[in-house]
Amino acid sequence: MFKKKVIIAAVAATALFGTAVTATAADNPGLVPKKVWDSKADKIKVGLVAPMTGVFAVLGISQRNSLQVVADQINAAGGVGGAKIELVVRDGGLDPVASANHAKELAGDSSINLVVGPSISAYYQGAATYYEAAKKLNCQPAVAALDFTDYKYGFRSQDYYKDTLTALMSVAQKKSIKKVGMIYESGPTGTDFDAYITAQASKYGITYLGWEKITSTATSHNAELQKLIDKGADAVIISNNAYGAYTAKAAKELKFKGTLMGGSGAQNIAFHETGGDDFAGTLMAAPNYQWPLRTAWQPGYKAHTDAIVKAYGSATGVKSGATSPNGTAIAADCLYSYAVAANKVRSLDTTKVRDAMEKLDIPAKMTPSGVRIHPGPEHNLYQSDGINVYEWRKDAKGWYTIEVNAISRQAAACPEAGWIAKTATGSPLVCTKISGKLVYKAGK
Amino acid sequence: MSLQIWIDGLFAGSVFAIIALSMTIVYQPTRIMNFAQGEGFILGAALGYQMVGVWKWPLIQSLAVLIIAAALMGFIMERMVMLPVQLSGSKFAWIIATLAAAMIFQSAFNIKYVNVTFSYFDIIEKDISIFGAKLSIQKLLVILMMIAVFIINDQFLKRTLWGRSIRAIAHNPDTSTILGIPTKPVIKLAFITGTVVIALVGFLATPVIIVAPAAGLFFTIQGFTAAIIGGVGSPKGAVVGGLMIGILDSVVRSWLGGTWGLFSTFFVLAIILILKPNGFFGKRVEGR
Repeated sequence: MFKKKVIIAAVAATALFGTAVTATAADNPGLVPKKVWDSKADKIKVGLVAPMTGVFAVLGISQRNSLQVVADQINAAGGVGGAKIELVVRDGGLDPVASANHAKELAGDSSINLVVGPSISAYYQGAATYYEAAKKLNCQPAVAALDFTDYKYGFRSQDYYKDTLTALMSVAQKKSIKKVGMIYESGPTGTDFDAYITAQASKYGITYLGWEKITSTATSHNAELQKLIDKGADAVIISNNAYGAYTAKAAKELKFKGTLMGGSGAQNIAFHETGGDDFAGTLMAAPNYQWPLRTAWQPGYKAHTDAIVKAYGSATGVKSGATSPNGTAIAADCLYSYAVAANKVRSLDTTKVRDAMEKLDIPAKMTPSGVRIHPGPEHNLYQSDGINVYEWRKDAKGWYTIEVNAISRQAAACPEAGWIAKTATGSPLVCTKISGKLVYKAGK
Repeated sequence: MSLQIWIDGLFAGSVFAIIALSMTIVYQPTRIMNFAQGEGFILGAALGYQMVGVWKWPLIQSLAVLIIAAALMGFIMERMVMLPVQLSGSKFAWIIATLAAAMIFQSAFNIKYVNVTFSYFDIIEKDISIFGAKLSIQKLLVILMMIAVFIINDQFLKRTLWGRSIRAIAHNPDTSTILGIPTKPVIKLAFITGTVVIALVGFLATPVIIVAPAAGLFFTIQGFTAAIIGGVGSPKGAVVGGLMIGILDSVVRSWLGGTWGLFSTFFVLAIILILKPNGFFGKRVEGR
């Protein structure tokens, strides 16, 4: 019976994502890349710079767990060209200087093949200088802002902020949300978010109420949220980082009637803990996060998540009862993509692997995240067709999500030339400028 | 500006005031500003999370264990700080000793709680309405605790033998020793009392604010700033300083934006240090 269900799920997943996959020369590495060549190397060292302690340790520990699970699986299957993967972990805390110093150390270490992190856009901005100078291949699972076409050796395994905000604003429009404000910490992410919403909100019939900046020292976001409530906010975009939990708390305390909208950070159970039952209704844009979705999971996502839970368990909020696996599949995608790319070119040479990574096209059903990986020259592992919007809900069985952006991904406003969306049947659409107007055209 | 902003400021100010009061309790007999004091706050948050949140222990049982644990922490902290101070003879030894103690406790919390932000249920999940603004019972308890700690500390110092001993040591430790006042036990008592007080506010405030295992130094800095503004060593100053920075932060953040809150706090601190170098209620003290 269980086997039958898995087969049905796999068939359904293939049907869902099949259109885009069959249109390209998709890679087929399987759920675990196996040894297909001999690199003559003993080991591949993968650095991780992340907050392993402190308020955002959940991120670093989840990233390490996911990387370790993939490393163990690949090693058990013979390694990458026979080379066994070894993690080198550095604790950057929530400290940009420490993170940059660790990045500098790993960038300068010739024995390191790939660096993951430092997460958080502002931290990566500092670290990227070292990576580019040292030509160090790196992959960033929690960097939403910044344009990765600027980085020759950097890849993003996180939803790009323009995709996130476009998806959220599309859903907001569908829900007749008219006035949106933002509470976000100062820094490049907040700046990029603010500029993009300012430029795009009117296309979705939204009045943007502005950005209330926060700092890491605030013990409450009541003052910031109250200002937006006074301006008539229907919805508030919250931080992807741990500080977003303070806004969830403020929404509960001030009995905010509107909608909170966040990125993938809103899967952190700290948000449910602080927001309580009032967190229900919150919209979350993220690459595939099927854990709280009561439907079949992508096979690759299921395999990775099951391995994470088996090895590291899951976390449960003492207050909310919300749960999350102690891993983050988008970090696993970094190592998975690296291994697939290295196998493809049968080389560990940085430039060759980088070029191969750019050209990857791995179907969603295979990747640990359950999202199609096709970075292209933008160096974004996930394109706009991989971004989902979920709505958090709670019932007697606990917290769960439903996917609400089927419409947004099909009929989002056409924000800029080159923007990729898809039709209801999954066919790709490209935003194109014709006679001064932005319109969608069928294309790849 | 809504009344809610002022109430939020009053609550945050009460937290900072209690932290400053606990630092004052230690400062009076020792002349040491204990930079490890905020770790007591984290102890309260961590034990609250563990006992109330995870183990679902009854409140009274949790409070009893918390007080014992905080007293033990205060005793250990006294040894960690006073022993190096006494052995080194340097008048600056307390700075590194208290910072080292802070780092040790912080590391211990980080080791135990690697993936946790402390949060658990309010003791009483209820709000009261004040002219349309909401004040949760949990916040009210913290405000009342601030008033209670201030009054009890004041009466203790004035009316009890131990309190008078603390005042005597604060005035002149050498003469106090000659007169037979037990300096060392009084100092131990100060560390224990100060740690119990700050652990209790950590326990009470954590359901309202979000506390991370590594946040101890942040609370120390806020308490230290409050103590400096009010006047180091003055309980009255601790309360005024704490309330001032709490309300100022909340009002300025609402008025000018979030990034201005911290700026305004330290700007006011700079102005006060120029106009009143000893704070509002502080007395000039010769360094030892």
